[in-house]
Amino acid sequence: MGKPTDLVQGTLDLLILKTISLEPMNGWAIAKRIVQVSGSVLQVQQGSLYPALHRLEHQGWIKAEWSDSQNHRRAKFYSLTAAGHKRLQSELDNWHRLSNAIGLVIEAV
Amino acid sequence: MRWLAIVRNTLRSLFRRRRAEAELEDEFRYHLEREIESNLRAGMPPREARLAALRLIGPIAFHQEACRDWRGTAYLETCARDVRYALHMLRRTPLFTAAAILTLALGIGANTTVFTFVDNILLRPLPVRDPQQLAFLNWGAGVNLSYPNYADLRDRNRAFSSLIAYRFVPLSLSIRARENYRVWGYEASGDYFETLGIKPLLGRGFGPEDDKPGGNPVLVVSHRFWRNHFAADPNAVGRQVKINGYPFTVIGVAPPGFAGTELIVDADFWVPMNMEPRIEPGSNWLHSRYASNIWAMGRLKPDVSRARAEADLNRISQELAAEYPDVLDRKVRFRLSPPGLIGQALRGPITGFGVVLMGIGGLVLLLACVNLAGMLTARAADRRHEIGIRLALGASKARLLRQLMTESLLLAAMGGLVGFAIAFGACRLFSSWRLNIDIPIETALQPDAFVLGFTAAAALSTTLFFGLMPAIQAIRTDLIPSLRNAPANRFHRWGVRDLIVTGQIALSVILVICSVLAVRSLQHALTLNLGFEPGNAVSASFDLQLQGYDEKRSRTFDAALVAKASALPGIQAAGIINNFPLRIGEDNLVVSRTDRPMPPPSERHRATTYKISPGYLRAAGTKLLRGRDIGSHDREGAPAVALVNQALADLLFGKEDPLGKHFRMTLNAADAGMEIVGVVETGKYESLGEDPKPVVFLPVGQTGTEETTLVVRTTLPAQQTAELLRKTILDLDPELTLYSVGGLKDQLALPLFPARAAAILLGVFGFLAMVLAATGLFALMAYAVARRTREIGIRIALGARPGLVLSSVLKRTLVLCAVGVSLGALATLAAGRLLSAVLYGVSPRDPVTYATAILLMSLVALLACWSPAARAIRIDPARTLREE
Repeated sequence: MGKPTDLVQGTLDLLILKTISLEPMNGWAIAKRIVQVSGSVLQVQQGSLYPALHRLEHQGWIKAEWSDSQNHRRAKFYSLTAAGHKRLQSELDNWHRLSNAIGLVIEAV
Repeated sequence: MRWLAIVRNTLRSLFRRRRAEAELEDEFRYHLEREIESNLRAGMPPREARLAALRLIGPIAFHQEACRDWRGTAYLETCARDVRYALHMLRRTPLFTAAAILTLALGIGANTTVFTFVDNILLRPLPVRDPQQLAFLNWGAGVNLSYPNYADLRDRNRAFSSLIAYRFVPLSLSIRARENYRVWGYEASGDYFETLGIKPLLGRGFGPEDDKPGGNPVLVVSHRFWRNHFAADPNAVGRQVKINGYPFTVIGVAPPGFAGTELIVDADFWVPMNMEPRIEPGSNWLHSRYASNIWAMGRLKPDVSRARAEADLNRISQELAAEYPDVLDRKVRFRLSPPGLIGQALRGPITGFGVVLMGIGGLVLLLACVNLAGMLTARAADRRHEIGIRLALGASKARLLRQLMTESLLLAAMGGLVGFAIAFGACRLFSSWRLNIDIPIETALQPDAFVLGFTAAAALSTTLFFGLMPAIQAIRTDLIPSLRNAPANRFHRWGVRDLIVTGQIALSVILVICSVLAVRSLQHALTLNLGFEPGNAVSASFDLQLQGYDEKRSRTFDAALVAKASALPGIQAAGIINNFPLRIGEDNLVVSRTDRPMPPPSERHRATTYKISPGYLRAAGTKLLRGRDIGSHDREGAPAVALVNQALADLLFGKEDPLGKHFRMTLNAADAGMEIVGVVETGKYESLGEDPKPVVFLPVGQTGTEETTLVVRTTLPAQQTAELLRKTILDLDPELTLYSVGGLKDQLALPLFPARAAAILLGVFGFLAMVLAATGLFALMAYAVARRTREIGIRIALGARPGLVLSSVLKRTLVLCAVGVSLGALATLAAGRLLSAVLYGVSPRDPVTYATAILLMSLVALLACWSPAARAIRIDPARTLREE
C-alpha cells in the first residue's frame, strides 16, 4: 500500500514531465519513449509509472484527457499544466546543478 | 491555479468514484493491450505475448491501489469503512453499546451542566461595551462606599475615564391606578449608560444632566418589564408612571439582554441616583459620609493598569482619611476586581463553588472513562480471536488501532450528543426554578456554542482516555495463542484491569465522600440555630413608606395590624420587624460604649440593626437569654432601650454584665445612648456560613420603621395563615404591595440555596459514582468468572470446596477494593480544604462521613461481586467440561 518510493522517485518525475512536455502522451507511450530515448538504459517498471502519473495529476502538475489514440482506441493522454511547465524548468535546473556538481567531484581527481 | 486543480481533482474522485474506478481499469487495460500487440508484432505467440506483458507491468492490483492512494480521498474512504465496520460491531453488542453511551452521556452531561454554570456566571463578560476595561471597586473587606466618598473618588482620580455608582433597591411602581408592582432595579449615577455603552432599544438613557442634585424624575425600564407591563408598546417612552406615589416619566427601554451590571440579579428599572429621596423616602445617604451602601465601577483609561489604578484610588483614600479622620480609616485599601458579581463579595465564593463543582464533575467523567476502559478491555479480550486473525492476514497494527479508535470515537460522539441533551434538560429545569423570594435572582442557564465546544472537547478527550489503552492492549495480542483460541495466561498477573478497578473504586470513594459531606452539610444547615424558629412561623412584608405613609401613620397602622393579627385563629404570637434576618438589606451602624471615649475608625465595631415590636421575639421564636423583652411602654418619650444579641454583648462588654449598660449608635460622643434591657441568642443574619455577628434590636415604638415584616407564630398550616395575613393587611389598606408572604421555612430558600445546590449536585454525582463503580466491578467479576469457568469447573471436579472457590474468585477483587477505598479516602483527606467552599458546619474531615462513605462503598462492592461469585460456586463441572 506504500507510495512509490523507488530510487528513481525524484528522477521519474523529471523523466515523465520532460517526456510529455513535447506532446500529450498516454502511459504506455511514455514508458516506451523513456526506454527508447535512453537507449534502453533506463528500464521503467511499467506498473510504477501509473502511481507517479496519478500523483503528478493530483498535485496539479499534469492534466489528463481521454482521447482517441492512433488505432482509434480511447486512451488517457497526459499533458503539462502551466504549473507543470514551471515545475519541469526548476526540476531541470536542479538536475543540471546536481549533475554538474557530481561531474566536478568525479573529474577533480 | 494549481490548488484549484487539486481541489477539483479531489472533488471529482470523491463524487465520481465509480467513474474514476472505471477509468483506472481502462487505463491499465489499454496499456496491457498495447504491450501485447507490440509483443505480437515482434513475433511472440499470443500466450507468450500476454505473459510477457503481464510480467513487465508488475502486480496490477497493487499499482492500482497505489494510484487510488493518490486520489486524496483514500483517507476519507478508509474512515467511512471504519465507521461502517464500527457501527456494525456496536450493533452486534447492543447492551454494551447502550451501557457505554449511557455511562459517557451521564459523565459528559454532568460536566456540561456544571460548565454551563461556570460559563454563564464566571466566564461570560458583562453584556456591555469593552467589559474587560471595567473594574469594580472593593473597599477593604467590603464593597460598599458612601456617595460623598464616591463623588470625591470620581472627581479626583486620574486612572478612570469614568467612574459610575449604582445601588440595587426595590420600589413600588404604579403604571395606572390600583396597579402597583414591587420591582427591583438600580439607582445609578448619570454617566451609567454612557460609560457602559448601552444604547436603549427605545428612547434614551438618562445622562449626567438628569442626575444633578435634585435630579430629574425619569426612569429607564428593562426590556422584560416593558414586555410584561407595557405589552411591548412602541409608544411606551414618554408614559407617566408613579414611583412610591411620585410621578416619573419613562424615557427609555433597555435593550434585550441587558439586565444590569450584576449578573445574578435582574434589574427592572434604572433611575438617576439623585432621585434617592423619592426612591428611598426617609433616608438621605446622598449626603452622609458614614453611609456605606453604593457600589462603584470604573472604566480604566486605555493605558492604565489595574495596579496603577489601585494605587491612584488609595492615594485619594489617604487624602480623604486625612480630611475626615473621624469617619475614614486610613488603613483600608481599594482593590479592583472584574465586574458582574458584586466585586469580591460574590466572585470569591462563586469561584470556589465553581472550582469544586468542576473538579468533582471532572472526577465523575474520569470515572466514566475508567469504567468504559474496563468494559473495552474486557471486550478486546473477547475479540482477541478476531484481531489475531486479522493480524495474521497482514493487517497493520496502525490500521487496527485506527479502527478500534474509530469505535471509541463513535461511542464518545454518541455519548457527547446524549450528554449535551441531558445538560440542556438540566439547564432548562434549573432556569425554570423560581425561588420564593423577593429579590429577582437570575437563574437562567443557557448552553451556547462555547458550551457545545466544551462538550465536544470533553467527548474527544474521553475517547483518548478510555479508548487508547484498551486498543493498544488489544493489538498487542500474541498471534499464536489467540489463534488457537487458548485463554490468555496473562490474567493471573497484576494487569491494567486491576489498575482500572482500583482507580474506579478510589474515584468513587472520593465522590461518595463528597456527596455524603454535602448531604450532612445540608442537614446541618437545616438544623442550624438560626436565632429564630422557622417552623410554624409565617410572615408577610410590605413597605408603608413607599406608599406615602409618614412615621405617625405607619406606627398607627402597625399597631392596628399587630392587634388584628393576634386575634386571628390559630395565632399564638404576632410581632413586627423592619427587615427579616437572612434577607438582604441590613443596616450596619457603628456601636460604642457610652462609658468609654469614641474609638478611632479602625477600632470601631459595626452592628446590624433591626427594629422590632413587642411580641416579635415570641412570634419569631428568638430566645431571650437574660433581661426582659421590649414592651408597649418602650415608646417615644420613655428612656431609650435596646436588646442586643450575645455576640454584641461579648464584643462590647466581655465578661461584664451587659444588662443596664448603655451604648450609642452614633458618632456623637455626647450621645447618651440606650440602655441594654435584654440579651437574645445569636443567630444567622446575612448567610448561614457567617461567624457570630453583633446585632441590636430597637423598639419600633421609639424609632419607627420603613419596611415592615409581620411575623406570626401559628398552629394552622402556613398556606392558610399566609392567606389570612394577606387578607388582614389588605383589609387595612388595599393599595399596599405585599411581598415575601408565606411560611418562614419556604423563605429560607435563598440562604439555603448553596447548601441545597451542593447537596443535590454532589448527591447526584455520588450516586452516579456508586452506580458506575458497581457496574464496573460487576462487569469485571462476571468476566473473570466467565473466563475461568473451565478452570473452576476442574477445581470443583477435583474436590475444591465452595469456600475455596469463593476465595479464589473474590480474594483479588477484595484486595483491589480495599486498596482503592484507602487511596480514595486519603486523596479526599488531602483535598478536603477545597471542599470547605460548599460546606456548612461540617469539617471536610468529618470522621462519621468517612465511615459512612467507606461502609457504603464496601457494601456496593460486595453487592456487585455477589452474583458473579455465586455463579462461580454453582458451576457444574460436568457441564462445563463437556462444553469444551
